[in-house]
Amino acid sequence: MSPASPTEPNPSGPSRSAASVRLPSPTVSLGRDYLARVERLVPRIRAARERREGAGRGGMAGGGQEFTGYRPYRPGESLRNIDWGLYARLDRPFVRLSRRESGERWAILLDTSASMGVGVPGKLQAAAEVAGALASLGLAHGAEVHLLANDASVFARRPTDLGRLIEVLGGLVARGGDGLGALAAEPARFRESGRVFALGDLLDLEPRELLGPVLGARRGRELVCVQLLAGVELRAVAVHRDAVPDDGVVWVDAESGERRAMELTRAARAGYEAALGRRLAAWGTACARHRATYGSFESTTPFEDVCNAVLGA
Amino acid sequence: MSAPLAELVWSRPVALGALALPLVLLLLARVRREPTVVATGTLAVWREVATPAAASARASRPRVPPATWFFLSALFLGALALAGPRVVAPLGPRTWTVVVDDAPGTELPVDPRDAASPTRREVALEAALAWLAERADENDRVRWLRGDGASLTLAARERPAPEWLAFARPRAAAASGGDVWTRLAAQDRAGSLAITDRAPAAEAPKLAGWFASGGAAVPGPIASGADGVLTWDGVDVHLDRSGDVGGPDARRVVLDERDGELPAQLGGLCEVWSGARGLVLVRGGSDQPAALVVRGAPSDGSPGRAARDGWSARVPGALAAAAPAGAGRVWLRAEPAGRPVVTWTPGLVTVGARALTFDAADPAQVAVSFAELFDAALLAPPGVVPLEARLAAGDPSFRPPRTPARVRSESSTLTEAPLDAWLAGAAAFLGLVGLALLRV
Repeated sequence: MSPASPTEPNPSGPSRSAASVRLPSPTVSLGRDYLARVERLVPRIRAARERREGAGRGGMAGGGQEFTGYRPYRPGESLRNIDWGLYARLDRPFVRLSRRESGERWAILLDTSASMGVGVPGKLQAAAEVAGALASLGLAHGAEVHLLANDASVFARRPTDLGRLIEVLGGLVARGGDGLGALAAEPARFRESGRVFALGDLLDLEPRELLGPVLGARRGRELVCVQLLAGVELRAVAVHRDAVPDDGVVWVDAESGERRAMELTRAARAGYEAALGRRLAAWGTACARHRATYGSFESTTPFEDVCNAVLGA
Repeated sequence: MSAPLAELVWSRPVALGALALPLVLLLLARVRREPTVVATGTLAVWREVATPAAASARASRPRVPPATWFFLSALFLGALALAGPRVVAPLGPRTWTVVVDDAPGTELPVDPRDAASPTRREVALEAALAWLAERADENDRVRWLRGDGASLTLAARERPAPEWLAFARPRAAAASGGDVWTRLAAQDRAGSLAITDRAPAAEAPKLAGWFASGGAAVPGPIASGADGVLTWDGVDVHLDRSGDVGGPDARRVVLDERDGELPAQLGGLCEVWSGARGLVLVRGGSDQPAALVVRGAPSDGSPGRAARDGWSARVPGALAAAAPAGAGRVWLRAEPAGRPVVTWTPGLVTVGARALTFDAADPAQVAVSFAELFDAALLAPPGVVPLEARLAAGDPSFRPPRTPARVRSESSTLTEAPLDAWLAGAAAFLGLVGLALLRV
C-alpha cells in the first residue's frame, strides 16, 4: 500500500440519494482556514494530554520510539520535548520527532451514507472536519492513520501525507445506504489499528453492531464513538424558520427515500424528542459498558470542541 | 329633533392605503403551499411516535398561528392610527343670502307686449329658487334681504311670501337701501346672490352671484308732481299737466297724533312741504291710504339732546321701547344712550317727541333737513317708474355664487377624541401580545 492511497469517491449525483431525496448538505468543503485551525488544535491537545498523563510520554504514544527528525518548537508545547543539545548549537528550539517502534495505527471509520447529508452544516461536513483533525493529531504523534469511508480509503504514514488525506475528505459525498455498520462489518480492514474512531450519526445500527466487531477483533483496542446529528434531528421544531405548531411535514428518509407525512403537533414533537433521547442514552450506556468513549454532538459544533471532548483534552 | 351625529374624519387619509398591508400578509400566510419536505436520518424515530396524517401530505392551506393574527391586527390598527382618525362635530347647514333688488324697474313686466308677463323680479326670483333647489341641501338656510333692511330666513326650498316681496317703494330712489350692487358688495362672499333685472354695469362682485331677468323697455309714467305727470313713450318724454297717477291716495299726506302729540313746528313744516310737492295734508288715522303718514308715538319721557344736519334741539323724550311703530330706520337720536327719536320706513315717519326746542340755528337748515326725510319716506305713486328703470334691461344674465362652506356646530359638546393615540396604543399592545406568544 502506498503511503497515501486513496480510493476516489464514486462520482455519482452529488445532491440526491438513490431515492432522489434532496439533501441539504451532501458534500464536504475544507478550506485553508480549516487547515490553520487544525494546526492550532493539534499542539493544544498534545500539550493538554501531556499535562494530564505525564511528561515525556504522550498519552497517545506507545513505548519504544524511533527518531524521525526535527521540527521547530511551537508555543504551548512542553519544554521537555525540546532537544536542548540542538538548541545549544543552533540557538533555536527544535523538537525531536519520533514514531513508535511498534507502529501504532489509528483507524478512522467515517460514515458517508446519505443520511450524513442532512443538516446545515451537514453531518458529513462535521464528521470530515473531525476526521481531518484526528488524523493530523495521530500523524503528529507518529501514528499511522487509516481513513476508512464507505467508498474511499486512504492510508497516511507521516505528516506529509496529511494533505492527501484531507483532499480525500474534501471529495466525500453523502450517498447510499451503507454507513458505519458496513464498515464495522469488515474488521479485517483495520485489524492492526490499536485506536479506532467511529464518526457518523449512529442511526443505522445498534450499539452492539459496532462495539462487537470493533472491540472484539483486537484485545486492548481503544474505541471512540463520535455521534453527529443535525439540528432538525435533535429538535423537531427546527424544521424550517417559519414553521408553526401543527404544520404538516413530510419526513423523507435520506437513505431509503421513504416518505412519512405527519402533523408536527406538540405531542408528536415531545414524543420524538423523548424517543431520540432514549436512543442516545442507549449508545452512551453501551459505550460505557465496553469502556469506549462516546460523545454526541450537533453538526454545528466546532470540530475543536468535539476533539477536545472525546480526547479528554 | 335628533342630535347631530358626530363625524369621523381622517387627518392623513393617504395612510389608509397601509391597510392593504395586513390584508396582503394575511393572504400570503393563507396561500396554499406544498407541505414541508424534510430529509432526515431519524425517520425510524418518527415512525415510533406519530401516526401519519395523510391530509398533510397534500398541498394544504396553512393555519395562521395566533401570534400572526395578533401581528396582523396590530398592523391594521397601526395603519388606522397612522391615518389620524378624529371624531369631530358635524358640519352645520350652509347659509345662503339673497339680496332682493327693490328698484322700481324690477316691478316692470319682462315683456310689456304680453299682458300676463311676469315681472322682472318674479323671473329672477324663479331662476334663483330653481337654482337653490338644486344646489342647496335640505338643511341649508336662505337669508332674504330687502332694500328697506328687512330680512327673512327660510329653508332652502322655501319661497318668501308674496306679501313680503310686495314691499312699499319710496319715491326717492336714494332713500331705498341703495343700489342692489352696492348692497351685494357688502355681502360679497360665497353663497350670496342678487335677484335683479339687469347685469352689473361696472365691477361685478367677486364671490357673490346674481340672477338678472333682463327685459324689454317699458314705456310709461316716469315722474309725477304738482305740475302733472311725465310720461315716456319709448322715444320722447311728454308732460301731462292734467295727468293723475294713483288718484287721491297717492297725493295724501296724513298727520296722525292719536298715539302721541307731534311737535308743533313739525306740523307747519309738513304743511309747507306738502304744498310744495302738490300733496294734500290731512289729519287723521294712519290706516287710510296715503303717500306718507307722519305719526306721533308714545314717548319714554326721558329728556335729552338731539342733533342732525347742523341743527340741534332739546327733546323731552324719545320713542318708548314698546312702541310698535318705533321699528325702521333711525333718523334722529337723543343723547345720552342714543335713544331713537325719529324713525322712518317707506310711507311712514314716526316721531317720539312731542316737542323740539331748537337751539339757535338757521330755520331753513331745519326745514331742509326734515324735507329730505319726508321726500325719502314718500311713497311713489303706483305706476310711476323712473326713466332709467323703464329702459330695456337687456338679456337674462346669470352667474352662480361660490358655494358657501359648512361650519362645524359650535354648540356641539363633542370634543375631538384622540383616536389615533388609542389605536396606536392598542396596536402596540397587540404587537407585544404577539411577541409573547412567539416566546411561549
